Amino acid sequence: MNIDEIMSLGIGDDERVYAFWLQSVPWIGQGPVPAILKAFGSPRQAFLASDEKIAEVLGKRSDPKALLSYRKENDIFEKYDEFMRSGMKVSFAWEKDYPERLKYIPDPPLALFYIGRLPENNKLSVAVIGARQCSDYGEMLADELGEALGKNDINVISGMAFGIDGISQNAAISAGGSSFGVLGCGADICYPDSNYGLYEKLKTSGGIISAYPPGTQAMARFFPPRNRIVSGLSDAVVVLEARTRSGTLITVDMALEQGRDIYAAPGRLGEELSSGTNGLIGHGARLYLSPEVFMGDLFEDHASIMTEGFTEEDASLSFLKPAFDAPSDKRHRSYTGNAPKEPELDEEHLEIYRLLSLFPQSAEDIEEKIQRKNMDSPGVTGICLMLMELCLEGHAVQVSPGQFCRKTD
Amino acid sequence: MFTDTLSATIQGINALIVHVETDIANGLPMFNIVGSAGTEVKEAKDRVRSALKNNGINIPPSRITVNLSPGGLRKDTTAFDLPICIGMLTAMEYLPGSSTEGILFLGEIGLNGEIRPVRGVLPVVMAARAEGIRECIVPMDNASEGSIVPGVTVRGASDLESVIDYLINRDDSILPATHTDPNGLFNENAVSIPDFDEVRGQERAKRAAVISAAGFHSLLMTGPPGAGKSMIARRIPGILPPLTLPESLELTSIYSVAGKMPKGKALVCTRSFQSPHHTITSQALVGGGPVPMPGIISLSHRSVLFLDELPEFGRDAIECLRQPLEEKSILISRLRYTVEYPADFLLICAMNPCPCGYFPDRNRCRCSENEINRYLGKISGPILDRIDLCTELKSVEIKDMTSEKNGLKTSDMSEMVLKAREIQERRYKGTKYRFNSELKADDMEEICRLGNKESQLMEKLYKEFSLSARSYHRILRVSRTIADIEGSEDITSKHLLEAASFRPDLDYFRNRR
Repeated sequence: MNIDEIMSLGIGDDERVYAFWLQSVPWIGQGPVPAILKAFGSPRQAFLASDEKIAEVLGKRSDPKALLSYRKENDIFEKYDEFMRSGMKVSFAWEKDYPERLKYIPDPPLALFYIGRLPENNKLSVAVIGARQCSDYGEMLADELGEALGKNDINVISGMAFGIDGISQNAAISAGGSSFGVLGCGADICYPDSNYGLYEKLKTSGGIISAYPPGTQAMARFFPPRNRIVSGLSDAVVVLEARTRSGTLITVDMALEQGRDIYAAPGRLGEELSSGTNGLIGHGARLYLSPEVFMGDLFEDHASIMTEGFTEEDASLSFLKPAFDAPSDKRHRSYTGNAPKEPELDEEHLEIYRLLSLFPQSAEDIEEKIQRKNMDSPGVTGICLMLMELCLEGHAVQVSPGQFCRKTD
Repeated sequence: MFTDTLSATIQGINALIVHVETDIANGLPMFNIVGSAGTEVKEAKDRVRSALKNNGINIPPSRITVNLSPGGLRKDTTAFDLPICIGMLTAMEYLPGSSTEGILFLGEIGLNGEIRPVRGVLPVVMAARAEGIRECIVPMDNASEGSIVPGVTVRGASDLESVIDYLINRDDSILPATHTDPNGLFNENAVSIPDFDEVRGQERAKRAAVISAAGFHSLLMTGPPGAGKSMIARRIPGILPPLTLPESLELTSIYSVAGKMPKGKALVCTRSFQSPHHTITSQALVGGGPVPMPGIISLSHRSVLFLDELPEFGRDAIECLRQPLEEKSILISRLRYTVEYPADFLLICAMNPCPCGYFPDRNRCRCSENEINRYLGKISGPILDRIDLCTELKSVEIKDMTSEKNGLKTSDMSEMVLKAREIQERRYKGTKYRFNSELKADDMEEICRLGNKESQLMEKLYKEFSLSARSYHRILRVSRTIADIEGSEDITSKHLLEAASFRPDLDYFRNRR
């Protein structure tokens, strides 16, 4: 059921309670709700219908038990009031405050339950997604991008999961921006519970959104539909790290279906966590080079959103765009202009700094590189001392005992 | 008739002289042993009776009472068999009363009169000497252990008959064990410890091993399976300075009390390497039991205690190490006894960085963040707080295995350790300290004095790495050892930075994200 079909039903505000009842079951995607609406014409009519009639409409697709027993056992008005009093909100697809972006995706979710607020239509939104078990490299990229987006008042949409999701969202909020977490469980449940800090922050600096009714416990099958909302709420999707077979790539598939721009961060060949992103680039995803270059592209492509808000045209525009743009001259310029400057260090330290990368290395790895270059080596201990000095000066970080990465500002 | 025979019992790792008093009187025939005698001692009467009978000596049907004085001290040992036997023979006037005077007896007796080895002979002989006793008769197997104490004639006996012969005739039916000069034993007893040059690559870990051995700093190694963590640990006893005689006597006493002396060996001359399995109970680790016995930590006294797979050890067992790590000894108090065993060990730990072992190599490690946190969270914070050095090993690559370059050898490393050791000996002469790792905060200001530039660096380290007061002192202690290895009077920035690079970062083990 697309947005036009939904709007044509002409469901009024006074039917919210009944619509709330229809959504009281954690359907996957929209579930059988469109079929019910089509058959009965409105949520109220459905509520007044007999058990047999509803069971007939649901047919074999879904078990009517949950929906019917909810109706039988509860006073749905009381339940609705209780929900509204709890501070949570709900937005239905036919209502004004429903995010414009979601309206134009195929089969938009009919209800969004949320705490906090929904992403604004006139602000740019970016989904930052990636592996839960990410590497230090992914961690660094996520932190960097989240911070840049937060500073530039671009909403960060993600799944509040471990790894890339949580890191980028935390960074965005710390930088003063807003972020929205889309969950695969009820919005009143913090999943994973160890991200409770982020969950609390999202309540005030953004929102927690779910298509599932409150109280729904997380289940694996709830996550792919959740991913559809993550990409649906965004203007572009950035994949920082992903394996070839991963949930992240499911989100990418959904995003492509919705006509969103896909950006992928390149990684070193042979790194399993970059195999997915490198593959995406091979298939025509846009190259993620740095927060600055990325935001440059974003502003260029979606500038109108900030003045006029997201419109149907934006949605249809994306469909027409070629999957891959050859980088224009301008982009080349902006990239070289943003190449990280080398810090002011003496020759010895600079040499070590140059050998560092965003991938963790030990002093022994660096010693090996030096030997391969036939340069004079200060020995493992000497290298270690210099690495410590670089850490103190803020040019390197020690990510775990004995492992060092370059630090970019 | 009443007689008094000398023997001894073990208390902790020391021995206490016990008077075995025997009285044979008229009355209903009975045989009683009194004086806080444990089951082992009570059973002696049956062994003694049979042994005497089988040697052709009949016990008269009379009232026999044996008292072990001091009576309040609990005794759980079979070593009283021989003194009880001798005491009865004297009381029966089978032996002349004067023949046993001034002789200490120790030994378990078999039903045929054979004398079997017992625990704790060295401490007993040392106690005998302290009491002015000049002669001891001990089981043959334990004779060499007792023979290292100068000024006491130790005779090893293999059966009851020869002891009786000796006491009656004073002939050479049992020979005194030749007094062995302990100093001479050090060379011949050396056990071969594998050499460090078999460890390929891993230069940083080897460096950490040197610092650890030089200052007796506890060390934690993390790394994937097969990186060589156990290999390095096994080689550390080889770079520790050789045992001194007092240390060796102390260690031998512990081994003797624990009944762990190798047969025929007179002295423990090398630092041991104890690597208990992670299922070890806390009692086995620190000692205890119904009859007090030293635990693994006391057997690792002045040696290496290696805990492989640290997170797998039971929490109770690991927490037990806290006090011994501070006090260098363990006080075991039970309802029936309180004993103190020395436990000054060098703690070396090894662990994988995650359950599968390959983190942070995400190409191989698929452990979830939760699993890693749970795994690392198993390590007790207070123990981590007492670990001075932390180093990471990486997997060995094929080119390391085939490379010509072997890096540091045991001989190079022990030279470095010895140098640092000598400096410490000079510095701590007349103080309570022996190693840099023992330094307390109040003395640190004096011994680890920093220059202006170094103080500034330390301040920077403190801020940048958000150190705690404890880790601040830890870096100072380790840098003192590094300076000693380099033979430098002052601690320089170089030493501080290196010490900081080995710091166990608690953040790595807690709240990783």
